[in-house]
Amino acid sequence: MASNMKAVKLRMKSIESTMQITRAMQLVAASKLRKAKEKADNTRPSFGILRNTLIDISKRNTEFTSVYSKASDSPRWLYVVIAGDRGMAGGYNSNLFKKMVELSQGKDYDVLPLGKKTVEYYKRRNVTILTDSFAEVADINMGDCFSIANIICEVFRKGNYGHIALVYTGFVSMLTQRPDQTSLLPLSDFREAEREEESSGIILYEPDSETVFDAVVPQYLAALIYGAMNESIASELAARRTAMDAATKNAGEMLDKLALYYNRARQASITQEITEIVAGAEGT
Amino acid sequence: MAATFHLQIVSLDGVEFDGMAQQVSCRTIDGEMAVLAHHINYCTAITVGKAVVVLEDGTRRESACVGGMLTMVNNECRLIANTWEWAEEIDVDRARTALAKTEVKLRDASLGESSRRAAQLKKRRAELRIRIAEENGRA
Repeated sequence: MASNMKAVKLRMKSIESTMQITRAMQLVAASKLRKAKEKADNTRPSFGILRNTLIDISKRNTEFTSVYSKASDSPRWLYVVIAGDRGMAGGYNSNLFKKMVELSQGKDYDVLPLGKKTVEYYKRRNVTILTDSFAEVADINMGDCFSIANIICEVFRKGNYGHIALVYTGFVSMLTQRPDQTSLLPLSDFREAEREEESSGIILYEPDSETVFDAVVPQYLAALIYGAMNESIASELAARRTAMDAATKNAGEMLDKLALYYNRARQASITQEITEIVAGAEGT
Repeated sequence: MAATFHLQIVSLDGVEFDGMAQQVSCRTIDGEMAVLAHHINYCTAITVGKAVVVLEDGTRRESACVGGMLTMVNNECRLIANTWEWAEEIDVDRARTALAKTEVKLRDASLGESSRRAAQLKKRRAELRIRIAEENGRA
């Protein structure tokens, strides 16, 4: 009985220290989350305006041809996948990879991974990685997003890939984050995009619509990637906060149960000792 | 009083300016240009350069503007920049460090074509930020 009690005590101690870690992680995630969410919210307006302008240009000029609007003949896909640098964030990483498996089924594809977990995941599966120089999501800044956009534009112009898509986690709310995908290139989907617009008449493009379009596309892609990355980071922190909150609660419950068990065992051992003493006293 | 128009300046960091202005000028891919009220509906792309906004009350504000686009539709002007730093917000020390770093990088003969281009662009941005800060008496 005494050895059993010792084991329970040890277990309680280990749970307590785990709980301390999960609680600390939860607090860190919660404090970082506010900033990350603000950043994600800030990016949205510029992205929306850019997108609307590109739709406008492609709608007004039915005859115009841009390298980026035509789908190339290549059947290969390139996925830009954004996941986290670390685990301990509930289903954040695995949900995203599940979505990726679903999306890439039956396709011949390469990836451009953002995030350590993504790099590890695709290296393990021997998928061709375009570049792993953007492995740490936490370190990626706006300049890197432009480099990524330029890489994407370059490989697309060369005709290496027929389609390029972005897979990330959308921040729905503090409690819900959804893995999502959006097409990056070609921009042929812009023509179909329905948008009721105010009659703004003819717009003058300088030097001409194609040049403006070609100059704006890489910026639009960078904005899209930057926005998606900010959303993903906010999602990761929110997921980690929820997961660590649940872990802390579970640890608390386990501690309560073990404390009850420990007290019962202690009481039982005392009772047993008394019984033994009484029996001994009776014997004499 | 000069005619004004509604100007919105948005960068990837959020809304930088939203209000009435008399004039906005910046460097486009086609050269320097300025937009006044009642400009024809217009759209162009912006490169690295100085941008100047003349506010409703005639105050002049300068900024370092990098990339993006400018649209003027029905007297509503939108300037979407990749980065936009008002002269008073520029971190001169950071710009100087960036400039020094890129200069060292550019001296490296083994630098690849794309990284050389990226470094040159970075250098131009740093030079622009320093120039604007200096012109506004901040350095």
